[in-house]
Amino acid sequence: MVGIRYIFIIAFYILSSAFALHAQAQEPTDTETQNTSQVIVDPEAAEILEEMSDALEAAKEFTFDTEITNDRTLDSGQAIQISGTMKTAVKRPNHVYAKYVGDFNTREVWYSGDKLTLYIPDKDFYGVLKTPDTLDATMDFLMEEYNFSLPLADVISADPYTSVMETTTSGFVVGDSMVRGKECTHLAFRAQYVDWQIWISNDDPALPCKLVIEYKELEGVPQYQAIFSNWNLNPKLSKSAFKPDLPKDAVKIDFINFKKDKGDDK
Amino acid sequence: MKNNIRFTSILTAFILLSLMILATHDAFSRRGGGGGGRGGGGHSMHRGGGGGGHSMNRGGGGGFGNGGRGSVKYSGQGSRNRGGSNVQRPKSNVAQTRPAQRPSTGNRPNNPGNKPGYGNNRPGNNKPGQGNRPGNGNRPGHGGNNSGNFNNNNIKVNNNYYGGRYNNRYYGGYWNSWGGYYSGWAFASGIIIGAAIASIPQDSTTVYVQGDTFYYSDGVYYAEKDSEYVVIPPPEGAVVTELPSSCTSVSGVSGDYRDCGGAFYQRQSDGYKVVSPPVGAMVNNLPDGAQKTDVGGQTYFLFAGGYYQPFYSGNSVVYKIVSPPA
Repeated sequence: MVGIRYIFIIAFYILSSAFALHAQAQEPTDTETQNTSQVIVDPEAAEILEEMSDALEAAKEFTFDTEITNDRTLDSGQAIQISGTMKTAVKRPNHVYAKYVGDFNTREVWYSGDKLTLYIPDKDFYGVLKTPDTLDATMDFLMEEYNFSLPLADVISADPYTSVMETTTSGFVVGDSMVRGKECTHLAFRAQYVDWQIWISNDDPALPCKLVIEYKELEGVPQYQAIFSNWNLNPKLSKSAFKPDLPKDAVKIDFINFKKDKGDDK
Repeated sequence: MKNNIRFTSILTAFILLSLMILATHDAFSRRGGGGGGRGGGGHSMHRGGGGGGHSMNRGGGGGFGNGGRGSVKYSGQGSRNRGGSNVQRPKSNVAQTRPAQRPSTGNRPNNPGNKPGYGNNRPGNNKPGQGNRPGNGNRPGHGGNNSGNFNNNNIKVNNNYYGGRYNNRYYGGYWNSWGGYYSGWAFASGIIIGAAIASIPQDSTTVYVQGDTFYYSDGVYYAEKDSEYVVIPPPEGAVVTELPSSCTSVSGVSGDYRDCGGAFYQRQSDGYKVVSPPVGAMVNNLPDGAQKTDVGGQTYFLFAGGYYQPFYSGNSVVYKIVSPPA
């Protein structure tokens, strides 16, 4: 009996010490990390991310390829991984072309300043929207009115750092990691609706190697992953690369405007 | 003696636990120092269970970020915060924590901690038998068209069974606008409208519509004809108590509607009633057999009297049932 009480006292003591030590460790020893009570991003993580952001911002035009996997949760709760590849071309400030070819669908999108065209080859449908004249304004507009985001919106944004940090609440450097044989630095962040991780090349320029987004609020916590390759920061893109290439018999359909909450939009 | 051993082990357990608590926190507050960060016990990839949500049938997904998929910034928007108010781009709080002037870019030094090399020296890469799997070259493709591959064996199709009666009295033009299949019907066995069979499923129930008798089982209706049974389109007004599990709920209209492969039901107190396609309803997939038709420069798909107009919902296609175009 005495023995048991003794155990509890010792256990209590050890645990209290552990927590006390831990609390001490959390004291503001490093002023940089203590600026805000809500957003805690390791300055080194922020720095590496901004380095990447700067590299992308500096590029007037660029192309890259991605291998994408995306979880789909069945009604049973079982997660099924869907995969595809995507080619992306960006010419700042307002031209984007992307083509995704996946297990279940293919999408092609052209954005050139004042309009965006979305084409689905297997259904032979396309739609056209009038858009604002910069990429970032367009992306906000598309999401707000049409519940649609361009592929890898954060990466092609004019200021990727600001774009992702708007919602990010914490982040740190996980460490070095090899992605497809390249040395990259692995960063991990949390935001309100997602946890996300990015791997950034250790070489100059510091371009994305891989991006993982986990949708922690969605059923089954589906994960999205994009592995980047074939970065070209000087592709000399012609205007025609951003001109919709549609078959003659493609059927034009309208986008549902969720903001207006009505079924048609011209 | 026994007590002592137990005491010692409990004490050890507590000490270990305490050390682990300290170690875990240290590892993560020091950003991967000593290699502790990576994959260290703390971050489990726990996946909550959960059902519902996204069915494979949803038209889009997988491709571009619909509703913010594939984007950190837009992740909270879409179906959750549609028409989101946070269009403003406040400069992030984090900016304050960033050092004002970053050292010039170049080759970043490796992070501290000297993690053991990845990839190069890992043992166990010599698993036997890799690389020579036989016979995977010639598998037939399973591409995309997962719906509609019904097994039509053993079903005799004979549209001549329908004298004027079914056509005129019950279905009118409605009959002809049905595709060949009950596309929402269970995948296991294909049933074609107009098929004649010798016997109906044992669990069939009798359904009366305007004085006529039909038989119903798992989404399929049968009429008796010359000592055989023929499969007919769902007769409008029929009320059944159970629907096939493949039926989906319908958005865009008030009232509890179900879409069973182009056959629509409205829920009522005593079961589900067959109704005409409800105008305003949105569905993710066209019924199999829907016919493309152009009216006034607009493309529709026609099935069972319903005009389906395609729209983009984000990057996915949805079909809205609209009034018959003039």
